[in-house]
Amino acid sequence: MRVFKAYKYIVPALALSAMIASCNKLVDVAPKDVLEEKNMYRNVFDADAAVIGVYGKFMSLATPYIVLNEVRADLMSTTATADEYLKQLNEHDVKEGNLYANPKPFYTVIMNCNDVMANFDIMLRDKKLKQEEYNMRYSDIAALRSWVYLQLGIQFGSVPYVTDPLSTTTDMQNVGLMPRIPFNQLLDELIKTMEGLPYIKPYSATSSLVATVDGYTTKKFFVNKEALLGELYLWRNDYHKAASILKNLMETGGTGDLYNYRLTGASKADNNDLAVGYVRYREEDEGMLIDNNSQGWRSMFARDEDAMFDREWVWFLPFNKSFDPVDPFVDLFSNRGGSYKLKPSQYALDTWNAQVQKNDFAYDARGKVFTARSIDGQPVVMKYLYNYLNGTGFTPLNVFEKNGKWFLYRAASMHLDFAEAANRDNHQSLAYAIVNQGLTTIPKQITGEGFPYNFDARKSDNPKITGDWCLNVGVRGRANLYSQTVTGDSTLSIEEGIVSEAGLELASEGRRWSDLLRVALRRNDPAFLANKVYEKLVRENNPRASEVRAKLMNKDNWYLPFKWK
Amino acid sequence: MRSTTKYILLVVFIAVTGTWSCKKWDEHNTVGQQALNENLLEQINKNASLSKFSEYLTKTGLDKVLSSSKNYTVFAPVNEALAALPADVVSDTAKLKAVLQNMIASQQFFTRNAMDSIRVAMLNGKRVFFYNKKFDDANIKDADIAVRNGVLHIIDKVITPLPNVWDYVVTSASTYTQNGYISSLNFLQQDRTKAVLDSINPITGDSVFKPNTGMVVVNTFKTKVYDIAAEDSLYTYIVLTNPGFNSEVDRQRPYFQSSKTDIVTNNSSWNVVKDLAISGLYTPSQLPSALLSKFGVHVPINQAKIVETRKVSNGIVYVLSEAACDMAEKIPSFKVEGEYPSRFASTADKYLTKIFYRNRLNTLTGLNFKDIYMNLGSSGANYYVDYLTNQLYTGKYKVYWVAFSDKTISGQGDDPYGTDSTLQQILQIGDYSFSPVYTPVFNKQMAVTPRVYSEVYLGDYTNASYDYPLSAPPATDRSDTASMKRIRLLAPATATTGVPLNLTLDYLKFVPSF
Repeated sequence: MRVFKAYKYIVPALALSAMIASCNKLVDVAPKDVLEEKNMYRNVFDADAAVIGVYGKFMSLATPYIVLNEVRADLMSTTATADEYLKQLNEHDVKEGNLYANPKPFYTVIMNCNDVMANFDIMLRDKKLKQEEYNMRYSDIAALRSWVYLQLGIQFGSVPYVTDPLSTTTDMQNVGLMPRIPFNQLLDELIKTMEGLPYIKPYSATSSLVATVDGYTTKKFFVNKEALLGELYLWRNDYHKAASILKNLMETGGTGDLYNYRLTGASKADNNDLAVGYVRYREEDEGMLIDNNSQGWRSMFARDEDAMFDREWVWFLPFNKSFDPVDPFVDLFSNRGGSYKLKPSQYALDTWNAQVQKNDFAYDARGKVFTARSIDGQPVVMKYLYNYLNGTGFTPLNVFEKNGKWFLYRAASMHLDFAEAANRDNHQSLAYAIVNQGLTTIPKQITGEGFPYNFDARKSDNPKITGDWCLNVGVRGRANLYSQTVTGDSTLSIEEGIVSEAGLELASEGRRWSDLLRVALRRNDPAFLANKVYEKLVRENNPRASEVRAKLMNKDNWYLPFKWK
Repeated sequence: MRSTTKYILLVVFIAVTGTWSCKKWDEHNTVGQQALNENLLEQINKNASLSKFSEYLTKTGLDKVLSSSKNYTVFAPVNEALAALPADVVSDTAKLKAVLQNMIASQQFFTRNAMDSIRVAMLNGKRVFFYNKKFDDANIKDADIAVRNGVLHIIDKVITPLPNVWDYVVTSASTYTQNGYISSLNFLQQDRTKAVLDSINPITGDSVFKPNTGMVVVNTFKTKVYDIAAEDSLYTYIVLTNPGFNSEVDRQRPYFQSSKTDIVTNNSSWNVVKDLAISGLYTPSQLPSALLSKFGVHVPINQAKIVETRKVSNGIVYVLSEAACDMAEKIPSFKVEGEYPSRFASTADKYLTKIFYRNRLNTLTGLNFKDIYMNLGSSGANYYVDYLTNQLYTGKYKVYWVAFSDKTISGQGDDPYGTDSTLQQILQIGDYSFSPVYTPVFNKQMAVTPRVYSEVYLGDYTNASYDYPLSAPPATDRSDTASMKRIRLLAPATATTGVPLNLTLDYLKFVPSF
């Protein structure tokens, strides 16, 4: 016992001496495996690392982005194996503790952005960044933050708008308690931020952030500011401004570029295109559909990042087996190698199958073949799986190697956004042409109007004219579909058509809920949104269909409860 | 001192929680009687009312089974019940063993497992119903006596093993013509798991077996309808009395004419019996007015016509004096789908690249359909596509087609597909015939008006002979072509100027006339 008593004093004594010793100069060497905050922002490469770091964090939003925007809307539904949280979203009955309906991951990204932006300011002040370098990086992160805020607004309505960097983790806990601003006020703030950005174009090709890393070119990894601003204007019903900024984006390639973001049609001789096409002279044969990973409409979601890929994609982020985070979509969607929690809704399948292709086939191949393929008798959301499953038999190439992409924005989204703005800005026929058979169908193939409605789709040999839009075939034209019919009020009818076409073209890309919500808000018509969700539930014999419809007829129920966890 | 207190506290704590939790345990999972230090045999020997059962166990050697360390469930009949066993069973050890095995299962089954009725697998391979306190017809007097190697239930009646449907068919083969016919459907077949491997085909990689090795007898009723010998499934089997069976067979005869008289009877009989085994157990109280067979035929059940009801181990047998099925279901109308061709006139690329498997919406039915369209233009003269079928029995059929013709502008800016003109198509039906000479007995040319979705009546086709036995096992040679018909969709030799020689077919429909 006495020996023990002695130890009682020896141990603290030793500890104390160790503490004192640590103050000694001799051991006060900076640890080599830890980066101290004061050393984090020293030069432009540190700034680049910060940007990449923010995007790395941002990728954790892939799951909530797709789940919230698709499961709450009409084109995606839960399977029997879906978890309780997904079912709650599907039936618009979100309970406390729902993992997907949590604003915190969004704010984690926002706080990262705020911190990085504040440090960029310091770097500029300390002359560690050139003005031009600062402009690009600061604008990028500010735009990304605005994009995340827009998503928060769409899902939660009123949210706290925080732009200051927070220093401690306790501050993070307090975000949930901060005052919230209504959605419209948030939109105004975001537009103000975006309009005030020093730089609105993508990173210049010479920027150190545009490089090839791990086999990917980084140029399309970053949020597109023009596209975001265009969407923000659409949310605020500022149609002319939306059309103007989107027109700039649509003409990214400049005069003489006939392909980039121009939505061109099928290349019938070799089928090297992004269109729904058939082997030449055999269009009437179902088996001759171009259905592989390197040609045709499907290849958009499967092909390598080549020139053709760049013609369509504006923004995407890759998931790769070699680095984190793991592709969450395989687990959500695949019934081979995944958990198959979500599937295309019956309503979506019915909508595709109600279309008629130009070869008179009574369906839209984008639906039952490319986007919602039937595997083992189950409809599967395919867009995210073409790099995971093999191209013909649709079995996993390697069950554990989950390669894929998070698709965020592409030319078709851009054209549909522009059409939405043009339609409301008294250019209905132009909007109709863009959505249906393209700009070559407008009278005289040229609008003869000023910006942003100046389109030239002429093509002639004598006199030699090649309008920039002469190869445009429209969204439905590219999908080999006949045009939509317009009934009643043309503006409303065309808008209906745009939303419907956005569903067919962009299904499961995480746009559906925001499209439905935006138009329902604009029209002040809850039924526009409620009926579509109702249709989805009814066609799957969900007993809560009417209850959900009644709930969505009240605008307050369009937003998720803001529960901080 | 301190440690002693600790120990006391610990002991008290364990004792308190222990007793408290024991009570809880009792509440939710009671075992009525427990004798976990005894095995089944010891427990049976101890019970005076089971002395006879114990004696028979020893006699049949089953006592060693019940004292082994595997788990069993024993439904032991009391002495009075066993006394009722006939003397010939008691004196024959093999028979006695079979009876006893019918009451022993090689797993534990408590009455709580039988809240819903279950079929317990017995040591003799049979299954017996166990539901609440009933073991088949016997009442369980004393239930759930748990012992070391299983559970014992004491019952008041001996449950003797029953024959299954197949046993019944075989044993009554001489009584009922129907059962005689079914038990005669035995064919020798090579069982690949038992045959001797000869070589591997170097081209296909298939195994080649030595002929006449591993030959087994297979009854095709069991392979083509249901395996009525399976103890794990439940069937309702209907036997027609001889007059009833014969009259039903006679009703089929017109549709199975053949140059060989034995085939007529064989096929007519087959067409009767194939619908008389029905999946599932329909006890007399649950019998509906008609039972649906595997082949979609409703077999009418008139309670007044039931001559006998017999319980079997895998279902129930009804002897009926009459069950006349609807002939329209017995000889159903059938379709030949255009998009599944058997053979083309030529497989040269210039033809095949113009044959399209299309998809269209039928505006009359509101349903999508697939069809075949041969966009041959002027080069289509005499081009044909063949369909083979074994389903045309004898008698008269009304022949219809849906042939959809239209014209579609190319979405890719090429020449249009199809035509607005009225096409001419010929439909021929004849024997399969190995020789290149094809002599159709039905030959009809008909116009195909554009954009018509409805069925068009082509004429009547009469088949005179059906020469292949339906009851035969799947043919490994080409013997089944004896009854095969070749249906040919043929383009005319010439056409009016400007009209292409295109062919189109959604489906052909054959409706038998009665």
